Amino acid sequence: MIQRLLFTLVAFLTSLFFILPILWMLSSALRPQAEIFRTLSPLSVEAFLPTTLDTSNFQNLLQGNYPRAVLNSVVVASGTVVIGLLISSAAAFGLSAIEFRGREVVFAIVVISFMVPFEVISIPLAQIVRENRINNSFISLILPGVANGLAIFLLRQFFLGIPRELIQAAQVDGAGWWKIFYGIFLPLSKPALIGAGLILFIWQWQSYLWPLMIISDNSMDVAPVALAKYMGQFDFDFGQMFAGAVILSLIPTLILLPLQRYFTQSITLSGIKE
Amino acid sequence: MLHTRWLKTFIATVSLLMLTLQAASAQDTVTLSFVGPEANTTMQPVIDAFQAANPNIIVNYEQVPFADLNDILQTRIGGGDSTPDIFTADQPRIPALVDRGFLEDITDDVGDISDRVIQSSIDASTVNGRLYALPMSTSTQLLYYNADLLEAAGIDLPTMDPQDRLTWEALTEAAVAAQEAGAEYGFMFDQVSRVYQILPLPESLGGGNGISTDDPLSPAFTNDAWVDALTFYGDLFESGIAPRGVPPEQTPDLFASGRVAFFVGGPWWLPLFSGIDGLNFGVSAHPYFADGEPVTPTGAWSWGINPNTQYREEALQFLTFAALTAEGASAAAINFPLPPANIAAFEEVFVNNIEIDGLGDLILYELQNTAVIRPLTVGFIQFEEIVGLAMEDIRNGADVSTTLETATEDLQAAWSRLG
Amino acid sequence: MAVAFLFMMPALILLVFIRIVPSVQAFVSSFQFRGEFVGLDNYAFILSNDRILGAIQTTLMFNLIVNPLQIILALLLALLLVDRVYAPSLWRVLIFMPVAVPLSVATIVWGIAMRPDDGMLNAFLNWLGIASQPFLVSQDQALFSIIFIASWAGVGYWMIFLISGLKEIPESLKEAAQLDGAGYWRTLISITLPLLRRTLAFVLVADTIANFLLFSPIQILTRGGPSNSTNLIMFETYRNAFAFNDLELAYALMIVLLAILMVVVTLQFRLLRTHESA
Repeated sequence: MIQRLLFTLVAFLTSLFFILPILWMLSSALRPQAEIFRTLSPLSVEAFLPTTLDTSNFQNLLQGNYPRAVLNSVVVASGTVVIGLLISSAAAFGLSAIEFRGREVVFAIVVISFMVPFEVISIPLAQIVRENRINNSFISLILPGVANGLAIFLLRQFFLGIPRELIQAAQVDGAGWWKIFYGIFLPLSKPALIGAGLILFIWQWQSYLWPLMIISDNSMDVAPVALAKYMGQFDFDFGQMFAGAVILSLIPTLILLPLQRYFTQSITLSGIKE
Repeated sequence: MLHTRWLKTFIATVSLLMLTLQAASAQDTVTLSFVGPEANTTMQPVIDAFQAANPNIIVNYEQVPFADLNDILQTRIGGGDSTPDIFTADQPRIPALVDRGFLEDITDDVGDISDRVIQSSIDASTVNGRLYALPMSTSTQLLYYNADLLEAAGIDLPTMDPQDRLTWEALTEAAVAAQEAGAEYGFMFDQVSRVYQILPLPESLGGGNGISTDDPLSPAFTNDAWVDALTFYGDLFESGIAPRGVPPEQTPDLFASGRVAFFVGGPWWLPLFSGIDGLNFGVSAHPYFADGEPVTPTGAWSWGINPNTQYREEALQFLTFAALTAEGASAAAINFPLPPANIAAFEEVFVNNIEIDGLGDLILYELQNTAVIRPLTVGFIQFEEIVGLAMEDIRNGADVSTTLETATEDLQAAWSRLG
Repeated sequence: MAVAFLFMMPALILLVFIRIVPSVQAFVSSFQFRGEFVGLDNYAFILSNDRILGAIQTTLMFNLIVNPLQIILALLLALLLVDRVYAPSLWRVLIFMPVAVPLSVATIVWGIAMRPDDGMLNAFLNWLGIASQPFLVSQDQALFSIIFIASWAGVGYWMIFLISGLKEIPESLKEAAQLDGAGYWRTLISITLPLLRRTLAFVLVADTIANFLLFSPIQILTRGGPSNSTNLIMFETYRNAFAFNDLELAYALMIVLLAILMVVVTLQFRLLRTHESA
């Protein structure tokens, strides 16, 4: 249909806007540093498409600490997702499926806890971590990311949409809360779980200040910190920084792509809803 | 049979390992942690040299991104951590660091070091007569020029004679002429809108360094000299001689790519500029105002000891090696682009490595005659931030007097928090 | 009930130790100066300091613009990419990519793009025949430039959640409306949006929190300037905590920010009153 084609064109142009800076980074990473600023203006295709294919920035990255740093980021983010999904979904379940007095208050506290800027309260927290010698460990990177008020919020919103009849039916059959959580709620919640996983992953992926404060061992640097070290006091290596950033942007994107189809499953609760 | 053989080998290896580890721990190795913004490769020579001479001390260097260095040191040492044992201290911040209790007093440990280290660096590391860090590097600024762009405009190439330096007024004229002859920009500062770079302008006109001479916590940058100097500064951008919106990380590229005729920057850009084919450049002395005195920025890094360290002796050993011995200072200076504060290293490493004839003399002249360190005040960090913001606002077209007055109020409020 | 607490316990324990206890300590510290109790002095300082008051004003204005803007953009994109195009997964993922770029690097890239004389953005505008703009160096445009950058970096994220929410709405309801003669926009307003309420509530609150807490682009590009036009409370908080070593003032600023944020979020919850399960 013409309309569909037109909309696809709009989608293409919109995507172009979002992608262009990343393409620029890629082209800049593939050219010598001196060339990066030469092609900014006037408007040219050359700025956005890699016309030179100088891979030295990527090669330097791969020979240095960066692959290790990317691996660290992936490990820490994945660990955060796995543990975080378990903890957040359990908490969301407790705050939605089970009715108890003061539920709204607890939920409010959960949301408020996420309104506090972590950077500021992390100063005394980092000191505690260092004093207890659990700095320079993956677990101390993962823990702050695991109890994520937004993930709990998202999952709770979703769980609230699951009809109480399902719970009641299961209870009539003699199922305990854990069975209801594990056997009914979780399987129905794939899109929300992916959403919560995304929240947890991206929080950890973008995390910069906390790793900077508690990690002093180079080999445990996460990727954003490793990238920042390319901007020294007298040595500004834009090329390597951009190369590294392009790599970083690809990883969550490639993870998201196959997970897309879970978004296309509508929840077949419609029968029960009506 | 194979099993028992492997088992025996395994047990033997483990026992050997345990004996070795036992022996190693009996040796009492001390590990010092050292934080700074430089890449590991920069610090490696001095660390290797020190460890070779002191086998029972290991120096564990950690690089922190430059933009976050002060913030991180703030949280670590401010939190009372015993590490890092040693860290790099930006010289003008030393009074503030001392006030916060972040630096150990080492006056009595090292005594008089003026025979080995440049005096201005010692002054910058001294608070109330006590020495709190050992100077490692200093700095100066030069006037780079693009010979091709100047020749196209028929402008005489400046010399390296410090007595013959361009005035800001003459520079401006030449810059405009160069632009008319085809240069994209006439002039640019390296660390644009930063106190380090721009303070020499009002200082050159006799306006002082922005702080009252009677009270280091009283702002003094609304006098006529300051207004004149900063009006000159703002006009450079207003008239298009220099570009707005380009931060310090991106300014060297402007000169390196041949887009600007004159560039005031540090000697550390020489390798970069020299390495570019087709960039025909020269070096001259930092400009001054015709009605004033030549003033150049100076000062850089000192290394200090965390007062909470558990290894004060060893830390001191490392510092004195790196700062006060020719061997240590030279090793520290090899990969470091700034001139060393250690006099012997300055002559052996830094001057010897300069490929341009006469430049070493020019740098030495500036360090000894025109260099003015940044103001010594406990409130330097607030000063640097607020005055820097004012400079950037002026660069972007704000009214000079109003901006300086607002900044004065801002700074007074910030300093009122210093108890 | 006890069972509920069992489910919530791991999360609550972590939240208490990692966020709540430090926050309470920060609250207590906000009434101190160099360790000694001084009552409301820090807050009095905040209320008497022109620069900080300006930051409060700018923060409110910033959020008044950026939150509806990003939600509407994300919603439009979600509506477009839920199923009305060919290859929707591809476009969604491309629009999402900026979210994965470290924000500091994205900020630097946009800083270069917004260079007044020779940045790519002005090159594009010139190509369209529009005069060059000052963007980050103008006190009139800087805040909008920051809004622009933050939106580029974040809209794709919220779009994904909205798409997921849209997918939950049964087709049958929409089809029924259309059989009754309702057009696209009618269906949207009376059927889709009300059913999207839960997801919208989440996205609105989460985005608001993220924008109130934003400071990295300001830290890197403008440091509150030009002429204080991009000074946000969160940046003041960061600067006082990390640069000026004035932790107690930073905590007081944080409490002020938190108070404003709580009011805003409560209003948003009221606005999108989410019901319990039907």
